[in-house]
Amino acid sequence: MLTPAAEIAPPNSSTRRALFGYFLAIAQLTLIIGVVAHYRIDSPALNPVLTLAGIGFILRIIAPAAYRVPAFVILSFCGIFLIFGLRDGAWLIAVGMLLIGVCRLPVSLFYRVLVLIFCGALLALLRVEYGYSPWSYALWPVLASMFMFRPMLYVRATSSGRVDAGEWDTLAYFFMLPNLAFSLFPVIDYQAFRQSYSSKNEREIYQRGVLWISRGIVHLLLYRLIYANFINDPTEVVTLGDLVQFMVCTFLLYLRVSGQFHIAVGVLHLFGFSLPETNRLYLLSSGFTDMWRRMNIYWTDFMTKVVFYPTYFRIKRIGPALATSISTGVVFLVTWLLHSYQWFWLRGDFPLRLQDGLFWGVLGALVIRGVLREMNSEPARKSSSGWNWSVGIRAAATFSVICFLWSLWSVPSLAGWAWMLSAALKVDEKGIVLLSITLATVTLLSMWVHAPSTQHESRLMRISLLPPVRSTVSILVVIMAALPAVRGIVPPAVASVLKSVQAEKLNPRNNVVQSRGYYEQLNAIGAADEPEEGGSERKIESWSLPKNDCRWQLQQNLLMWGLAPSLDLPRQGCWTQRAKFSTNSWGMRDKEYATAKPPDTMRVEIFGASQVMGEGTTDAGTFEQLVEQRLNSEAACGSYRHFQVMNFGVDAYTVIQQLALLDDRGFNFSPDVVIFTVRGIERLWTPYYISEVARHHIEIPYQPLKVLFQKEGLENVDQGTVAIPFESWRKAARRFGLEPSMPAAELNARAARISDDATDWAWGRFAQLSAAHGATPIVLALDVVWDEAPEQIPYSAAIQAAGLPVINLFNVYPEAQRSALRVSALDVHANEAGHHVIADALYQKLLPVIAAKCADATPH
Amino acid sequence: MNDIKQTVRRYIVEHLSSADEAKGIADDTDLKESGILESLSTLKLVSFLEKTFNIEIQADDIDAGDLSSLARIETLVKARTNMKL
Repeated sequence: MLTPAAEIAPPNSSTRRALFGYFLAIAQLTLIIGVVAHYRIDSPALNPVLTLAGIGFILRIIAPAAYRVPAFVILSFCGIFLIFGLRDGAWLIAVGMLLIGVCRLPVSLFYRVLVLIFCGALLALLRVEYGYSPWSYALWPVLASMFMFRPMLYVRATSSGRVDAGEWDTLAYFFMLPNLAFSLFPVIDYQAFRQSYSSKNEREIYQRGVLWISRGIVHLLLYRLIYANFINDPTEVVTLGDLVQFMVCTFLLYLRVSGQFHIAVGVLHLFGFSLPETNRLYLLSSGFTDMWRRMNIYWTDFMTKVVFYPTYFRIKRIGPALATSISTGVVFLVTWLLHSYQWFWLRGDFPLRLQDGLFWGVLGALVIRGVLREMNSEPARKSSSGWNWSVGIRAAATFSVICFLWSLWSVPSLAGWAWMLSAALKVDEKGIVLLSITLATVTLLSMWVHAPSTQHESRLMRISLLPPVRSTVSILVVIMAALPAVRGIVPPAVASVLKSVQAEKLNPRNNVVQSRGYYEQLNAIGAADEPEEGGSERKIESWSLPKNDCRWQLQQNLLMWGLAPSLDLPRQGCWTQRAKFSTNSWGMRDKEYATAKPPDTMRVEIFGASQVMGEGTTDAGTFEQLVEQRLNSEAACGSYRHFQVMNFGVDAYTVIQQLALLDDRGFNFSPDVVIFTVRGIERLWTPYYISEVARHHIEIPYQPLKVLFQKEGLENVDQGTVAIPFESWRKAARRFGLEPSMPAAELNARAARISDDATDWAWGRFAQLSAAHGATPIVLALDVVWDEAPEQIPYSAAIQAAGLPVINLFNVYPEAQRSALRVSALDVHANEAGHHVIADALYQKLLPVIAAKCADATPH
Repeated sequence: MNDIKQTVRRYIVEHLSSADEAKGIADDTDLKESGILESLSTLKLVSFLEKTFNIEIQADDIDAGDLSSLARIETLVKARTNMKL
C-alpha cells in the first residue's frame, strides 16, 4: 500500500522524462501500425506482428524484469498461432522444439551435429516433396528462415561454454516474433543475441528500435515506389537510358531487404535486444571492402566468425597477405554456396548458376584487392574541414560497379546479360541525364555523410539527429504522403507517383515485368503467403503448358496452342481444379455448331484470351453464354429471330493468334459480327508470343509478317547448345564447330522490336478480312479483374487507322467490388459474378450493332 | 608487463583508428562497437600482439571477445605469457 507521502509526491524530472519517452514510443508505434495498415506494407503478417510487438512493448514496461523474456516467448507463440492457425502453428512449434532438443542433447558436439544433419536431411526430403509434409506449403519459408542457420550458431555458441543456454533465451532466439513477418531474416548470432539483451540504457534501446522500424518502413515504401514506377524488364532495354534505369533500379530493389531487416531488428529492440545495425548507408559505400562491411552486416559478421577467422588462423603461417586473400576468397565461395542453400530452403531447389558464381567471384576479387590495399595503408584520417571529393568519387565508382554486377546477378542468363549490355552503345538523352543525376547524387550525398562531424554540428542539426525526432519526422512524412489533400497541392506527376505507393495493388504491368533478382524471388514467397496455384501470374511467368492440364494441344502453326476438341472435364479426370470445362468438336468452349448457319440467325464470334474462354467460371457462366441467352430472349429484330454467340477464346491468345484462328476456322461459320479482344498487357505480352513463334521455327503464312520476322533476324533462329549473343559472334562460333543458340533475352528483345508493327498489321488485316466476308468487325477492350484497370487501350492508333469500332470495357468492374468479382487473390480472372457484370455491359454495347444489322436487308 | 594496455593503446591510436575514433579510448571501450576493430584491423592487432608479447592467438580468442577491449586484451596477454612461464 502506498504511503500518503508517496501518493502526493510529484514524479521527479527523470521519471517524467522516462514516462514521456514511453508515451512517445507508444504513440509512434500506434502511428506506424496505422501506416502499415493503410499502405498494406509488405507481407500480410507484418501488421499483426507489429501490433503484437506494440502490446508486448507495453507489457514489458510494466512486467518485472524476470518475466520479460518469457513474455516475449509467449507473445511469439501467440503470433505463430495468430498468423499460421492452430494446425500449422502447432507444427512449426513442434518441428522447432525437436530441432532445439537435438541442439541441446546431452551428448558430445560431434553426435549433436550428426543428429542435426540427419534431421536436416529428412526435412530436405520433405522440402523437395519426396515425402508428405503434414503442414501447408506457406509454412516452409518461415520454418526454413528460423532454422536454416540458427541451430548452427546456437550449437557453436553454447558448446564453447561462453554463453548461457537458458530455456527461455533459447526459445526467444529460435522463435523470434518479427521472423513471422519475413522469410528473409538477418542471420543473428546466438552469442550476440544473448549478450545484447538489456546491454544498454533501456530508453536508448527502444528509441533506437522505433527509429529502425520507421526507417524500415521508409525503405519498403521507396522499394514500392521503384517497383511500381521505374523498374523495367531486360527485354525492354534498348538504349543507354534503359540500361542505366535497369541497373540502378534492380540494385535499388535491395531496399526491400534492408527495410525488412531494419524492421526485424527494430522490433527486437522493443524487447530489450540491443542488436547492431543490419545495413548502414550501403548505397554510399566508398569502396568494396567498405560495402561488404555496410551491406547485410550480420552476414558479414557470420562469415567472418564462421569462415574467415578459422581459415586465416589455420593458414596464417603462409604470410598475412596470402592468408588474408585466401580466407576472403573462401568467404565468397561459401557465401555463394550458402545463398543457394538459402534458396533451397525458401524455394525448394538448389541453383548453381554460372552468373551467380561470376557475381560472387568478381565481388570477392574486388574485396580482396581492397583488403590488400588496406593492409598496407594506415587508417584514413578524416580532414578537419571541408568535404572530401575523393570519398565522393570513390562512392560513385563503387555504386556504378555494384549496379553493373547486380544486373549480372539479376538476369536469367549470362548470354542475355551480354546482349543487354549492347544497349550501352545506343547513347540517348535519357541515358546521359540518368547517369549524370545518379552519379552526382551518390557523390554529393556520400561527401555530406562522410564529412567531418563539425560540419553539421549546429544546434538544430544535433536536435534533428536525435532518434525520437528522426523517427517522428519519418512517420509524419509517410502519413502526409498518404493524405489526399497533399496529393492535391503537388504537381500531377508527383501526385501520381505518391498514389502509386499507397497500396501494393495488382496491376497488369507488374505481373508481366517481373524483376528476377535473387532477393526478389526469395521474397516472392513471403511469410504467410498463399501457395502458388494455377493463377494467371504463373502462366505469365512461364510459357510451358501447365502440368496435369489436358485442356491444351500444342500446334505447329501460328496458333501455337489451342483447346483440345470434345473435352468433358473434370469427368475425364485430368483437370481437377475448378468447375466443369467442356469443348465442342472444333476445340471451342461452347456447344456444338454446324458450319452452315441456320436460317434467321445472326452469328457473333468472340475471339480473345482466357477471360473470353471463361477461365474461372463454369461452361454456362461465361459472359458469351449470358449475352447469347439475353439476345435470344430480348433482342430479336428484323429477319433475325435467333442469335448464336460463338466462343473462340483460348488462354493467352494475342491479336495475331486471334487473326490466325479467324482465318483458319472463324469464317467457316459465316459470322455477321466478329469481335477481337485486346487486353491491357497486350503490348508487353505479344513479344513473348513472337519469340516463341521464332524459337519453334513456325511457318508464317502472311507475307508482311514474314518480312518483319526476316528483318529482325527471327527466321531460322539458331537452336544450338551454347547460348551466344549477337549474330556476328554466333557466326564466328559456327566456324569453330560450335552449335550456337540465340539467348532468350536477345530473342525476346528482337521480338519486342517487331511486336507493335506485327500487331498493327494484324488489326488492318482483321478489318480487311471482315469486310471481305461481310462481317462487322469490333474491338473489345476487356481485361481480368486488376485492382487498377488499364488506363489506355493498346494499339489504339492502329485500331483507329483500320477503322475498327471499339467497345471499351476496361473499367467494367466497379472499383469497390473488384476483389469480389475475381476468382481469388492469386487468380484475377473474373468469377461467375464478374462474368455477369461483363455480359450486362457488353449486351448494352452490342444492341446498336445488332440494330444496325437488323436494319440491313436480309441475313447472310 | 604493467604497460600492456598503454602499449596496445598506442598501437591502436597510431595504426588502427582514425583521428575521431582515437579520442578517448577507455580501458573498457568496446573496440568493435566503436568502429575501431573490424576483421582486418583485428588481424593486424593479432599480428602485433603475437610479435610484441611473443604469444599465439587463435580464432577462438576473438570469438570469445578476448580482443574486445583494452582490459580484455591485457587479461589475455597476461594469461598467455603466464602460461609460458
